[in-house]
Amino acid sequence: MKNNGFFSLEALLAFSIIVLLIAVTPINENFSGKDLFAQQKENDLLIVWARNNSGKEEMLKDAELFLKGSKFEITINNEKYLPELNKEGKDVISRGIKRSNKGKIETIRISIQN
Amino acid sequence: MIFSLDAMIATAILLLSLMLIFLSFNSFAQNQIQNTKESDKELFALALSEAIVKNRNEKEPWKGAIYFDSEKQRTEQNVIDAVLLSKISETDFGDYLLSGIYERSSNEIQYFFNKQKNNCLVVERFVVVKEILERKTILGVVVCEE
Repeated sequence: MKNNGFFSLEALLAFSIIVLLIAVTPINENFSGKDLFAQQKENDLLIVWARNNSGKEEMLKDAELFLKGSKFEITINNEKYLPELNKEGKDVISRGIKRSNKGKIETIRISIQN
Repeated sequence: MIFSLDAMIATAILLLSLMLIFLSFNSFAQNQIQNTKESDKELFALALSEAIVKNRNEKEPWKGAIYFDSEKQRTEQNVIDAVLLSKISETDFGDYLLSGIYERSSNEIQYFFNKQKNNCLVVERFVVVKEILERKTILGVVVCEE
């Protein structure tokens, strides 16, 4: 083939194929059980708190002991009992439960930052 | 000449890139194999701990050790029967082993049994243990590779 320009048609095709192949190369996305572990921990805490009708102080104490250094936030009826988590760019997993406390329905929510 | 110089260079580049892509796929596959093994273990440990704190099986307490409230005629999830818990022992599941169970409080860890081997993983659960008196505690389930 006559070469009039910088690249011939074959070279251009070869480059296009390379670019295409690199573009479709899969990215390594690791599965991590971290999210599941966090969800399980939240479930455990909520179930026990709902069962025992735990108070705020008790909840904080339990969460600090169980979550060992993980950042977390507890809210009861949307009222926060710990400074707000810095959620920017971080995964936050939240779960909530409703319980009846002296005839009043309360919503307890816990969020863990991964 | 059958091929132009351009075509030869293009072919060489193509072959080289195919080789690089093959190598990258190979390393990706190796990583995936390793990750899958690790996630299998994580999922197994999660499922085993879930079974212990959500089910009740008096013959094989590793399948479930929760408390049965005879007054209410029902079981309570996350409330562990201390008698059944003490009956759980080292169990072989083929690829994995249930190698230990412990109770953690603020200042100590007390093992019910502890036969840790290679590459162990611990899943901790927050439960109420029911004996004569009940207590809130953290239950650790240790799963190791065979």
